[in-house]
Amino acid sequence: MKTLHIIWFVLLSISIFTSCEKEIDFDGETTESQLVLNSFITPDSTIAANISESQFFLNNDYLFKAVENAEVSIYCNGILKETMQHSLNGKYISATKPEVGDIVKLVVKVPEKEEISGETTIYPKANVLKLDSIVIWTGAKPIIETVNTVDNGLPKTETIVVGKYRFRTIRYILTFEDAANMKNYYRLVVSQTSSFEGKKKVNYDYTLDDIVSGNTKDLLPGIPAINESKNQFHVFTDELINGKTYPLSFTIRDTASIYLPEYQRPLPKKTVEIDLQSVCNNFYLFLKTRSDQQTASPLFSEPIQIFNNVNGGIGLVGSYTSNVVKVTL
Amino acid sequence: MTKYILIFIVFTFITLFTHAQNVTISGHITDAKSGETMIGASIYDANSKKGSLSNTYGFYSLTVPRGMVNLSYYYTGYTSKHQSFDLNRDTIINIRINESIELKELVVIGNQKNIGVQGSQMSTIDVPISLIKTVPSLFGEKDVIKTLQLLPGVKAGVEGSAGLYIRGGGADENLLLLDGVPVYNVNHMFGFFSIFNADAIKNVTLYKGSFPARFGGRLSSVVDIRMKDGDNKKLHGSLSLGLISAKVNLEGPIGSENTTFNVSARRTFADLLAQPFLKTAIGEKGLEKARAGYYFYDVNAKITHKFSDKDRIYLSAYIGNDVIFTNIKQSEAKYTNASGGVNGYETNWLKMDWNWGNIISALRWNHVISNKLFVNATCSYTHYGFDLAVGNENQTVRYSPAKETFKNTTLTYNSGIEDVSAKMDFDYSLNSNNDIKFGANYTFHRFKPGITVAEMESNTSGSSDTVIGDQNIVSHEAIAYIEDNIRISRAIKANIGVHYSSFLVQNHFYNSVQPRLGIRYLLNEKLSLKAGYASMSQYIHLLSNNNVSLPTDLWVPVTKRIEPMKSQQVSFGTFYNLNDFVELSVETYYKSMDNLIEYKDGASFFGSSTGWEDKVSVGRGWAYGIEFLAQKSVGKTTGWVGYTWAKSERKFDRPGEVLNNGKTFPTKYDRRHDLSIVVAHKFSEKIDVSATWVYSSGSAGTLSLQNYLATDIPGTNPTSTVPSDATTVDVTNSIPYISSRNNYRYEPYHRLDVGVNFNKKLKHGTRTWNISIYNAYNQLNPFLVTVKSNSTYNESTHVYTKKNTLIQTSIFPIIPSVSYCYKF
Repeated sequence: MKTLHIIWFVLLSISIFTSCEKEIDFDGETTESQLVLNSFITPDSTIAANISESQFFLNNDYLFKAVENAEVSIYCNGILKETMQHSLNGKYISATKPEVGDIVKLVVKVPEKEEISGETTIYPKANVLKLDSIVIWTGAKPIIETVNTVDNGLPKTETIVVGKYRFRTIRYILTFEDAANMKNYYRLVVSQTSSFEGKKKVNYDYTLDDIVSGNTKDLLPGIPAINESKNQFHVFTDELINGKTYPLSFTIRDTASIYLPEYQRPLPKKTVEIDLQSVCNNFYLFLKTRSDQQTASPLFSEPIQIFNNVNGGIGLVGSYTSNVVKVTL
Repeated sequence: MTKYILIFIVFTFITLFTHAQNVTISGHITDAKSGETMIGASIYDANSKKGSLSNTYGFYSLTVPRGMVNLSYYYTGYTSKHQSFDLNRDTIINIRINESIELKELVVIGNQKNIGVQGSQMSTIDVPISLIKTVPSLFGEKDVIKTLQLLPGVKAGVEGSAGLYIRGGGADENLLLLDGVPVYNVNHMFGFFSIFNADAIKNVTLYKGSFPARFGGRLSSVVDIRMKDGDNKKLHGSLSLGLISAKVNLEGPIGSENTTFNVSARRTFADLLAQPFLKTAIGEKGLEKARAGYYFYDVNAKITHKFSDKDRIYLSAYIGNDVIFTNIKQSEAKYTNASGGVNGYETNWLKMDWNWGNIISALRWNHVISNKLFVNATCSYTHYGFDLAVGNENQTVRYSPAKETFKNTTLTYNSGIEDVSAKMDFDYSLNSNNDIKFGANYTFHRFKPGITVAEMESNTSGSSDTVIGDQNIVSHEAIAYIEDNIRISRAIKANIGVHYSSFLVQNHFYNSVQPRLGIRYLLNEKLSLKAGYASMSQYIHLLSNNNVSLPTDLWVPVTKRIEPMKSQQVSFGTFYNLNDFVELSVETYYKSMDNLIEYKDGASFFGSSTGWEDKVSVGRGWAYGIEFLAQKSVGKTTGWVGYTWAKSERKFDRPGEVLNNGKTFPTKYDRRHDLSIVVAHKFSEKIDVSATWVYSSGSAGTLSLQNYLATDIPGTNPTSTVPSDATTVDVTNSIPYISSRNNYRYEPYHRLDVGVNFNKKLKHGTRTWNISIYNAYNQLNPFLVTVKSNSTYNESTHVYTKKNTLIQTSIFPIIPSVSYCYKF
């Protein structure tokens, strides 16, 4: 009898706490694919655009269809500048270099498809005043290498300490002045170029620990935010700092290699590029909603619509204006 | 419509002065056993064929022609009382009526004689607490709101939640009144339970349309919940223990019959049971001495004192909170000296306390000015607050050389709303044909839109604090109303009134005049036709973008750009009494709503009201439907069948406010068909059973039906792989595209709940074992539908394959529960 009770209890527990997920059939209508236009425009650089087709969400094709027969026209301030040329995989290029203040419109015509278009205004460069930094060394560990030697005529493998890695946290304070007479949108991009890696630029996964970014995560060290949102693309508005000079702080973590004198070797030259981008409203909304969409809990909120500004289609035509400060580590 | 209402008002005043040589009978109607006042009891004079109803405080006034009267007093579930005498002057008669032994079976929707065939009011349902205690419920927690969800025209939110979506309205368009005081957050446990403890409640009335003029401030419904006064004969009480909570109720006289009290308290106890397990679990990871958990509690208390037959005073209060707490020692380290001895220690604690809930209190005074005029004066306070405090405590102690350091950091966040209000309500029985209610109300609102305070205290680096957030916003709301329940002829009865409201906030002044009308045409004693019209305004919004109620949801007032929401509703219905056995009603309605707000695409609210106006669009909506209700309220078997066909849509197409490309879209809970069947049967005094079955069409959800290529964003590390051929592009980095709002229908929802009560009389009271099963046939109803994508790479063929599937998540499978109750 006791065994029966235990079995009953286990079965009951399983029935209550089993996973409540199941695969269901879609009984709605299959929607038609739409044209997708993506272009991120920056002043003094040629305009490029990507054109492809969206696909129905239950379509199991692994690849999106690139659109290669589109006629893509560039208008600057309402004047037709040029028709873009297709290069590869739906990528279209041009020779047009827009300037700050320009209103750029891309119009896409594809046979047997409705015309689509997107437009953006190019914002002026952010007014960066200065950059300060504080370095905190946080720890170290030995650099261990394996060397092959010969001992009594026999090959031998040894591990030796050739130096140490020192870990550091660098807290930067980028002071900039927000333009008072307009609504501004910013994005901070921090990347590093190492001379050892063919000058390949790698973006830092850094922390924008400042309340103007809307991220209260590290408002006080160690205290979790009330509603932590990741702000994956490090975008923020001038809502709290309109017209003010503001010291924006952020932190990167880095490692320095220090070799013992007998094992000295050339060290890589590291350059940190700090780019405070002035982005258009459309680009800001796109980045913000993409970040929110990736971090929102589907249990509690409706799916987040990623912002798009392409009339008749999908995608984004946005712009950003960089202001880069370089620091050598 | 307004023109016809004005004509009606003129006609009303003509009738006011056409009666003379009448006398008035007045008094209070109470339960003979407990002394509890009876709300909505009927008084009827068979000779003059005139009748009246007792008001919220049990007071009635009936004016009849001088001479012989043949009075009857009715209340469903009670033995009717009859009196005949010669009446020559105004008389006070306090009536005590006894609960019917024959009709002691489970009582369903009460007082349909008043608001059913005979009454002028439509779209109104009285739900007695005995019914709420009968209906089987989730985890055995008897819930007012979830019982209301079983009525036609009322739709629930997500599975298990206590949300109310009434006749196409939103969750924030319901005015929930506890003893006449607004309640701003009616949810415990993120909306899965309501704050209303059934043990403390006497009566619940739901108004879905044709609102009487005394109510206002919300577009879609009024839920008027009245607390029990307390037994004035002897001390009574009950103790209950359920699956998740324990409850206690005590009521009785204080000193004499003139003063009574009623106190009910409830607390969940899962946190208490979980602590030992939690400590064991966390202790294994070296984080001993931990505390963490969640609980909610609420306390209702009421004291009533009767000074005389003419004066009574009531003091009622509610306090309830949800609490989440964490207190964890994150780390503890010992310092050692050169010889290996202990030379100090360092500890780090993480503390977090969430606390949210309501405080409500009301002091009211009833005074019978004359046998025709009754006044109720009320001062009330209501507060909803959300408080969060998170902090770190770091302490370092070194013995040699002696040094002690500490650093405490705390982040607190507070938001909420509080009201202080004063109002006067008058009931004036002018003559046998006119029962007039009029009054005025002033409310001072203080909105607390979210303040964050960061504090740091240290004996090495000093102290600092930072305050972020918006200032409190205050507003002033004033209303005045007058309504007349008028008997125009034997067949025609009407409730006509007007509600005026004004709202002053940050130098913006809004006001509105809202006419109300309810009219009944009696075809015969068993059959009537009714029509209703109501215009409503709402000056506050609830910012929330969640499917469930979160404590960070924030009430904000209207602004210069966001104008008050308005609605107009017309309804028609027919009511039929089938042999005093079954009440049948069919109602149809059309409601238009304006200045509704919705979040713009991509906008979200996360506990801060900053710039909320820019995140929302303003638009309009409409809802229409037909509701059918058949109910049997007497006999051993009672219950009802409710069916609703409804449609609810929104359109946001104003310049600068466009949503969904300006196209019409359905609301999330736009369920076309809704059926509920509630049955209770009493086998004997020892055993009764009940069951509910609900079926509704699937609610609407938003699904991304297309995916598109996410081009690499400048300034990010590339994520796409190299394209495999010239005409296609890799989809590893794709973006879901939502073409329109609420573009997908969930599967239909259906559920059976069953319950059985085993009652036994003991020496000093009665004990009841309740066993109930929620979702008895384990239907996995949709809570959420998401797209799941599985990609695989075949290393031998170098081919990627992808499979997208729709996954439905359900949260409440079959849930049995048991509870024990002892009443004395």
